[in-house]
Amino acid sequence: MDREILRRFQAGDESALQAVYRRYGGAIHTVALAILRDPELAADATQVTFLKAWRAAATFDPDRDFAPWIYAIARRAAIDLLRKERPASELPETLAADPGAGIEETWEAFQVRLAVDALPAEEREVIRLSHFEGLTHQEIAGRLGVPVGTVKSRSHRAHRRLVELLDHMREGGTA
Amino acid sequence: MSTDERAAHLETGSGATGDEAGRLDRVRSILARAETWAEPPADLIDRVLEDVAGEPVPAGRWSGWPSAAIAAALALVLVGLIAFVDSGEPRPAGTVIAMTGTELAPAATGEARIEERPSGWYVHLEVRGLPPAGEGSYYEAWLWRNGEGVSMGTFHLRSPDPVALWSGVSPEDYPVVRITLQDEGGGPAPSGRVVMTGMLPGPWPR
Repeated sequence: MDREILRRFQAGDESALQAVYRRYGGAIHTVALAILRDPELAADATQVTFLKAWRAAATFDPDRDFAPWIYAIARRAAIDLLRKERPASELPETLAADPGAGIEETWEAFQVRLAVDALPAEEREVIRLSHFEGLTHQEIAGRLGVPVGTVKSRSHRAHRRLVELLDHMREGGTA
Repeated sequence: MSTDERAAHLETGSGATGDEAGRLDRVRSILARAETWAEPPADLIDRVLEDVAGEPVPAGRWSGWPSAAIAAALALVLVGLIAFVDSGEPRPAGTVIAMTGTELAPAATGEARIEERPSGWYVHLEVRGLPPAGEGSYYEAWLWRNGEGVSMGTFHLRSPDPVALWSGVSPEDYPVVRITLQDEGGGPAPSGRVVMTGMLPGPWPR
């Protein structure tokens, strides 16, 4: 993310907070939903994450990676909410039943969501239709009303861009 | 493997091999999940902005020096001095990682205080709610990243002694702390039975 925006965020500029929300809001919501499995609670956890991040922003070094910093706040907010909402006796089952809610899994989900959100809208939609809805190129062409050749080239570009955006995961780095 | 080859695997699920294939398949799996595509409510940004509008100026941002803040700052300095004298040794820059129990040890909580020293990273581990390791088993602490763990040492919690660990790799590079339950004679690899986890909360303080 733009260092200048992070500096403004760190300094308490609300317009920078909006920019941070636009970039990270979806990924934080993804982490919260993976842990809480409830859209309303996930929205609450996302809201709490931004409030906590705002309160702690002065401690953030804008020259460092922002993603791990806000991810840690998001995961903690979701787990705190989970503990508050569910009886302690249910927690082991809840967490065990959902292998996607572990720290590494949610960190990867966070990074993938960030990458997806960085794609141009038309490429993002092809990725969504292909992987989430499981449509073929032919079906996507029908859905979008474009030639199959267009879907193929768009899909190739989208996957290539996604691989590049996620290269830091391959190298063990951060977003 | 080229970017095009990796992109092809991401698109079709075949082509790559080994760790690369595993990593790309994990991404494919994440792309197929509903939470990857779920959007927060449209009005959530408004709720966030309402929240922060009601907030006082956060600590650390310049807002003048009211007398209460001066008193609080002096109190913090005093506490810090007492802690410094009490420890008997200077404390290098470091950070605290909050540790939480997994489903294998849901009552466990604790902190891993990590300090950079000339010879590596010293880790002082305090845990609560984690039972002593049973006969024939022990706990092992790891710094972790992307499926790769580097051991920091072992302990069993059968005595009240503090747990002191060392790492030769930086928590900046391996930001996740894991504690596993290991079987004696079970070999040096992590067992996979993770009982506690934590993550570096932000950039390593310098």
